[in-house]
Amino acid sequence: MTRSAWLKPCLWAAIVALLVCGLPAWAQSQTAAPSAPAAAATPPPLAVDAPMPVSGPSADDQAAGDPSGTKTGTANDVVHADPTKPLTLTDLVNQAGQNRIAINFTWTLVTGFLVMFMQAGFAIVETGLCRAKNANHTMMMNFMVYGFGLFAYWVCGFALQMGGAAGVSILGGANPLSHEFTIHLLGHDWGLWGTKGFFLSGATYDVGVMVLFLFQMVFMDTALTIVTGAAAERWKYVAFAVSSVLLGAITYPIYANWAWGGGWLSKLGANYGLGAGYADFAGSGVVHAVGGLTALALSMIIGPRIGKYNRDGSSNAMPGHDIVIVLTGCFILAFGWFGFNPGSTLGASGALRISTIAVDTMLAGCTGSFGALLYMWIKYGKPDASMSGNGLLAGLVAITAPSGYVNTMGAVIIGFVAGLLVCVSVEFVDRVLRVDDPVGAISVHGTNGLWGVISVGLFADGTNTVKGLFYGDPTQLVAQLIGVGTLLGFVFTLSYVANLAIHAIVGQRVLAADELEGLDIPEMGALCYPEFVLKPDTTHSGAAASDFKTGLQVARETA
Amino acid sequence: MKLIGVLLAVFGWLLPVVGLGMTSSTGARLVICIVGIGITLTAILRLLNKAHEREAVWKQ
Repeated sequence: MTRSAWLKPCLWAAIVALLVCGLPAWAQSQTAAPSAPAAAATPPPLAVDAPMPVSGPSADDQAAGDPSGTKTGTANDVVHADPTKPLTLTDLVNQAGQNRIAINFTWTLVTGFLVMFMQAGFAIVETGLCRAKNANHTMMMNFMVYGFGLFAYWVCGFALQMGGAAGVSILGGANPLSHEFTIHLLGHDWGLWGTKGFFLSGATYDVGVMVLFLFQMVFMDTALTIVTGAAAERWKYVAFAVSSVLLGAITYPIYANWAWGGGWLSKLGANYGLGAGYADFAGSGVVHAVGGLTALALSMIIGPRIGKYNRDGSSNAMPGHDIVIVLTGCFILAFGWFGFNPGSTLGASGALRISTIAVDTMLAGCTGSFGALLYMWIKYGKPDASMSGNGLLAGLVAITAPSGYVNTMGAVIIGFVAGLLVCVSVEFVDRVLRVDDPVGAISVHGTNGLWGVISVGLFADGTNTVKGLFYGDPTQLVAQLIGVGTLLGFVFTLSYVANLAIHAIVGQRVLAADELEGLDIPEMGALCYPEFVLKPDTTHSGAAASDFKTGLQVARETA
Repeated sequence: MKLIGVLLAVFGWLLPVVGLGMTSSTGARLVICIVGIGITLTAILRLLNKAHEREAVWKQ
């Protein structure tokens, strides 16, 4: 047999083999192709209550322990509606919903706990910036403002603020907060205050409402504690108590309703085409400007401390007694601010912008301290410690409103401007207005709260519903300016009138003799530092002895 | 003086709020807002503050 005779049968055998093996495959592919659209057609409806053949590790497996963590958190841990039956799709979907809300509850509560801890920061910052003879009094104001504010807010403040804020889907709805008192004016509805949730009773005895209450309450208390700093060293304790209750029960909640509770400011976008309406992400305006402007109203009414101003109107510096606790308090506040701003998303599931918000917050605080430090160093030759602390706080206050809407470059600029602004504002309040503010609260929280509100209208980059002037939408700036006007014209005025009434009824200011002695014994009955030898009124640098005598004489005359 | 200051502060707030319904021009609204804020600030920092400064302990 020749080679060609071998090849011929082999070739035929190969062709036959290919045909035998390939034809069915080709036929299969030809029949499978038309079936693809059929597979993509409407799937059969899922039987949500049909049992699902899934199971977790056995009881024996789990009894052996789980060092690697692979046998914990399995199908065994999904809640069954009927434990006697296998897992169903309904069980799975319910578990997913429960998990989302649980994540958001946990996030909001934990960040609320951080904000609550800011009370400690405020307490020691304010006390450190006051003189040692008033330390007990200042600490006790900061300590009890928590209780006074909380009680007032539980009674009626929360209802006025959030009583019509139903639909907070990220916390499961908070649907019992279902009614807003509204008037129809100028062709639009104007939401003024909520009406559900007094005493957290009735339908508002609800898990979602409780989360919202806790988080909003600690914000409100932050506003209240701002005021105690500005009026420190001369505020009568009983007047402080009444004033704090009024602020927590009425003034703060009404403005907060307008901004956050579904009130008219938040609807400026829908009703008048002003951007997304008044936008104040975490409360530069709602919390800080309300506190700062109330502090201004009270400081004007109550007047400056004895010895603060000379007869010619020039002012004397009255340094605090402990810069260590001042700066430690600033750090505590900066830490708490990670609850303040990122927590204002009210959740982590579906709100991953928390990372950007946290970074914006830390950057603005940082550049705020830079701004203040540079200002003081260049102007006065030294990097002043208390103003650096105030610069940090000013940056944090200013970024509070825009933190949800700006990028990191915006945060850096906003913070730096705030650091400069706080120094200029402290000088203006002290030397031009001659309003005595021992801790700089008016400038840190009032001035920079307003700057924070305005900065939303400038720097919001549009990645989270709000777009400012620098990104092409001037209408948002108008909404923000109406918010600023409301803070000045409504919040300041209401606080002013309320505190003027308290002044007329119980008196806001302590006796001059008590002020000179220090308020610890006359007002609180105990010294903060009983083993210290206190030197009254000789600590203010730049004040001559004759100035001090003038202060004493003035006090005697007044008494 | 205090009463005038309070009334003027409230007027400065209401001006831009009422102005919203008077014009839809963003520029005009912006100007009205700034004017309103200016009036309110003047009322607070000049009228009210001066009224209290007269009673200040260091002036007596």
